[in-house]
Amino acid sequence: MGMTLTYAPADSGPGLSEAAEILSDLISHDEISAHSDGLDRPICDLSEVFHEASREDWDGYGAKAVSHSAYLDALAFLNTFPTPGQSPEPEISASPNGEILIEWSTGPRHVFTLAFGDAGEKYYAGLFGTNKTTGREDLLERIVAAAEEGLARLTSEA
Amino acid sequence: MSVLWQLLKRAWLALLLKPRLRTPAATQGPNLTDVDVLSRFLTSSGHFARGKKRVKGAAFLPAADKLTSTFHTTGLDAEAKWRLGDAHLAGRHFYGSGDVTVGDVRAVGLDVDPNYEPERHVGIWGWPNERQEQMSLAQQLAATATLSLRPQ
Repeated sequence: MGMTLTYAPADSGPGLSEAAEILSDLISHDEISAHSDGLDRPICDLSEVFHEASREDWDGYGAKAVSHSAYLDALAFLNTFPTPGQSPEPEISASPNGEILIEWSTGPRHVFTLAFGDAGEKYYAGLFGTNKTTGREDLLERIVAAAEEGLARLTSEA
Repeated sequence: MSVLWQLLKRAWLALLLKPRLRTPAATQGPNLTDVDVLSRFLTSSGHFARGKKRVKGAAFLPAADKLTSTFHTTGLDAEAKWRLGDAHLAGRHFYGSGDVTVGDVRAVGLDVDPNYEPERHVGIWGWPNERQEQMSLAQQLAATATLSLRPQ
């Protein structure tokens, strides 16, 4: 049974960065529906998380709404990132600061997380046993490279 | 002369305000020890992995005020804990809690403010400014957390 998700941004216009506007043009409603019908799980999850967290105080603790541009940046990442065969499936969530989080985990102390903020900023943090890594990147290709490295470390050290 | 006076005034104001910005309001609740339990009520299904029985770092990330709200639940049975969540989340649905000890919080370099405003409320504070460092501490804290799911 195919699942159809609709693309319904919570806000539009003034909050959109130029990059997000371009992405918005490139990514049509039909493309997102096609992903959903094809059971591309992370993209379905991203749509659900955005739907849940695109309003203020979505968590009951005063969280900031996830912005349209954070959603589009995360979507662009998922469409770009070549998930290696052996790696766990990414899990999508939102942070109280209005970021979209993409996380891979092979155990409680083996976690790698990306965060996509509303101004194009992208962060990552990894926990590999007792070792840690963190960083910030603004370019998509750089965050893809950081994710590839983090995921390789996650699967090799698990 | 007036420029020098302005600089001195600015430095004095910065010194005066700095501690207020870095530390929470005065504590009203009891002193907590390292074995006391703090529960973060989970209002988002994305903040835990049911299959892996894992609480995610996202559950502990602070909001813009750099405080993570938790509740002191030492000695409460499950029913009392869920009632506490119902009372403070104003009827909002929650799935369960991520439970950590005060010792877990301190071990990652954060601290607790048992302000008890509202009842049993404890803020986790001391988060760094850099978002990626906050994420790292939240991952470490989540790694020590116990997932406790509420019967639905």
